[in-house]
Amino acid sequence: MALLEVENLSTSFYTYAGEVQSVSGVSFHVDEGEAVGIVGESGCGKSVTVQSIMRLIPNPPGKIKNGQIRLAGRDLVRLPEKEMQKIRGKEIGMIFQDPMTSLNPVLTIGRQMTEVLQHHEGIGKNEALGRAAKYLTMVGISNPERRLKQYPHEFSGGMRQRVMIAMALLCNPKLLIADEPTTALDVTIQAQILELMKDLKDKVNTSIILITHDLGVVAGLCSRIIVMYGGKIVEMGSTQDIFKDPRHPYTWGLLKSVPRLDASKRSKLVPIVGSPPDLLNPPKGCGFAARCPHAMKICETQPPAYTDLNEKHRAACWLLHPDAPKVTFNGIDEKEARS
Amino acid sequence: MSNEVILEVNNLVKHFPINEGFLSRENKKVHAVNGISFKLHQGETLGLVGESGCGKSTAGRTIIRLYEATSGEAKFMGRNIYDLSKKEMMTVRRDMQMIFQDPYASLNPRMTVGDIIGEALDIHHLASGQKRTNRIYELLETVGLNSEHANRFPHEFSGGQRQRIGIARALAVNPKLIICDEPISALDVSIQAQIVNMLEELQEQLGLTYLFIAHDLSMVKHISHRIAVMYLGRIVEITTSQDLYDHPMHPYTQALLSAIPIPDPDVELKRSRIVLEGGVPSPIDPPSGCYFRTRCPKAQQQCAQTTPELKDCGNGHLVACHLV
Amino acid sequence: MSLPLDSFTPLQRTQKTDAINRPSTTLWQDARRRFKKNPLAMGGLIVLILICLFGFVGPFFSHFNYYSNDLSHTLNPPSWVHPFGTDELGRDILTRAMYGTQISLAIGFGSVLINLTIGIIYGGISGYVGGRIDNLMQRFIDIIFSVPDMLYVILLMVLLGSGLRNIFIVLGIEYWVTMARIVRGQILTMREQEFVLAARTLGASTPRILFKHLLPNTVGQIIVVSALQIPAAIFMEAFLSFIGLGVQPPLVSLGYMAAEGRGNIPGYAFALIFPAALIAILMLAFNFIGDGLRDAFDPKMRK
Repeated sequence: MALLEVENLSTSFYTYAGEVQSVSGVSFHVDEGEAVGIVGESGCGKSVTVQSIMRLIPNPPGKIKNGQIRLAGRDLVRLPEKEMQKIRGKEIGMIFQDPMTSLNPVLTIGRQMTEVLQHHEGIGKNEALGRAAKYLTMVGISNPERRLKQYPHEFSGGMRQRVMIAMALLCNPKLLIADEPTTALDVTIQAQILELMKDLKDKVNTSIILITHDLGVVAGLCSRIIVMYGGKIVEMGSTQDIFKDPRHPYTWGLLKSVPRLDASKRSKLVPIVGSPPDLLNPPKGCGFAARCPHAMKICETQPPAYTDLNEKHRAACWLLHPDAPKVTFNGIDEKEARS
Repeated sequence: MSNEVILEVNNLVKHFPINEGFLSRENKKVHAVNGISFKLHQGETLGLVGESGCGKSTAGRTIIRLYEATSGEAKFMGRNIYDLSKKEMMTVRRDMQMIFQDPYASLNPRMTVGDIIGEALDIHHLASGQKRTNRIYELLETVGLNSEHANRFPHEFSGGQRQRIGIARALAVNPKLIICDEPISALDVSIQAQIVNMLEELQEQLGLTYLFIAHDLSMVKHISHRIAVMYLGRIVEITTSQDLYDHPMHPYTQALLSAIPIPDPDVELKRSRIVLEGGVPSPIDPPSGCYFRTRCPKAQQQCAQTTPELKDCGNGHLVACHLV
Repeated sequence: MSLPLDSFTPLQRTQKTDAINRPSTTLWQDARRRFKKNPLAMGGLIVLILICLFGFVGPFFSHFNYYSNDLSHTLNPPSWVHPFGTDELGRDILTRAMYGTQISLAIGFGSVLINLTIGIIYGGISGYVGGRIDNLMQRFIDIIFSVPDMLYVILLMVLLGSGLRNIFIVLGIEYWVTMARIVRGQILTMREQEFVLAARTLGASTPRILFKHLLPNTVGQIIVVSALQIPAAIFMEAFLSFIGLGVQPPLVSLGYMAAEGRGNIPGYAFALIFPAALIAILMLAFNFIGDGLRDAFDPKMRK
């Protein structure tokens, strides 16, 4: 069953120069207990999308222009701020990219964790501390009673991110949003956090939205992947679909521009030429047309509609139109090998 | 790639004293680089990888003499740069350049792109007037920008474009060696490939030598001929990039390789990971013996007592571990 | 939906380099735009311009001067001839206020110019050279800071004697300390920035790094601090003149006028109110402008 349904979400920022359409017409859902990855480069609208879900868009200049965000049937867009505060932290937990700045440096970890519990669940201090300790143990922090009395600076980066995860899970939220949770961490620490999240996914029945720009990170953790570009979803599907049978040229580009550690020979990388579109004046047709190696006339004039490829897999590209020339992921491989 | 050694670093050490204030007489210091040695051949790319705080950036900055070395030497084309006078150093600076990590901080926001690139020409009196302008245009085109961009300011460019401006600045003096200090880690994946390809093309065209510093092992493996892995200011393993991936010998390298996620669900779900405990110890007082022993799954008693030296395990594959 | 026949012909790409679509804006233009959007700051600026006109152009339209006595019209209340009234020597307060404004503004800008010069050089050297020299220079600043402002200024004025020139000197050497600290702080944070390192790897000399790379990037901060120091200097002058250590007659400043008016408060409060109100408006205007400039030069990058 769908826990979260986002329908036709559009969020814009109104700057002096005009309207920046950071997210336009985004629809997706997250099922219960499912981990969904949102992948895209900076400025593609992935962070704005989840900030819209959390209703954390600074207004002004930002505004949710359009659309519905339903959490277990309730529309969050039209919820009064007071109600929304009850949802944040309790029904939706969030982990941010930078564990250094998302903890208050002058309060102990215990205080910060129990505050959440006391605020949302109204339980007593001792009970709250007990629960906090339990969750710290769960995220692999030993000696939790002593740790609860410490301040954030006494924790290393990886430990802080564990604390953040424990804090986000404290009230047993239905949905956990992780916004680039490992980007600021070293690889060996990233591996620890990813292992932890994999482990937790099975232990607590929480749906996860994982935002990242690293395809490797979602590959091991998520069952479904949403690829965003220029404020729109260009392709989504099961992890298998996205990695083994991608249909959008942007997804191809993403997969080919990163070198694989397990590649045996030194092959040339295939970069995506140019830069992402300026969402102040979004292109009329497909947002990717200007950088797409297969762009056709129509791509510049009309935005492509979604083509459903299977139950879960859909992509927005004119190449999927029956009249379009046939180009596939592997097809370009061969072409490039020849040239 | 030729056999001519362009840079030879011998036992380079860089410690930073910590200023504890007026009253404290305690001499604490950050052991950023603790005696690294390697050779860099003409036309080669040597990757220097490690996690944050392992001293790789400090090593790069010391080699280009932004910092004075605490001890040890860096011989550039046969001459130890720490012995050179200011004037002699100027000629070295024309041959050795650097590309920086943060495309937002590495360009002076108050200068036009033309002046940023032209500054190198001014300092070394390489060109002036129309010749200077032409050279700036030429450099901009080399990195895929055009002459119209010369009068614009850095904040008008995207991260990838800025990084290319940084490359053009480094190229202005026609260097032989470029130290790339995490040039792609602040960029988006699709842009990273652009920069890496550009660096590879420039290497081919101009015969450049790179010291490529990064923490992203998959990108380093792609661009480098050889890789040196650093941990807490020491090189723990150094070999050709394919060999490093196929036969990693140091436990740290093994853990590092297994920690990197691979963008393929089939591979990713089947892999078993070596997950290291804890984080990197403080470089203010590093552990005794082998620095890695506190996190090493195979650590033994002798690891705490003696520091392992780099040993040749055949074919120039050097490893610093007692267990190999 | 039927599509045109050639819809699916591949596009030919000709453009190889990237184009930038947004209009070119310098940081200055950006700051100006933000400043203009700030109503308080713009109001302050307009008021300041009006006061400048009042002080520098006003005297040409006045029938009186600031020094001639007219003992037949002493302490007249405001009237059509003397809109601000006259003082105890029969001088037109409006005209005197115009000249007083001139002096006050001159002191404000003049002393800030002096402290700017000292502060930038001192702070620049201290911040860039660093180490022991920086430590010594900062301790010297600490010593100056540890003496209360007021005491220091009064002592110096007594030592040097009152008069316009000495006010410049005293205020100049009073405020450079703050400026030096700000410049030093800015330079310290910027010294390790990569663009400075880049200049060093190119072999740029110290003066070049200081004047081409470091100082231009502190200009925003310097302007903001200066804009807030001008009213402080004006206020200090007014205070000094008020206690009799400031400008000497026949010269007149707003503070001096207020001091004169103080003696006649019971019946003739206007002699105090007008100059005091002018000082207050001037201070407000400068403070609004200063705040506006601070917001305009906000280091946050453009979106």
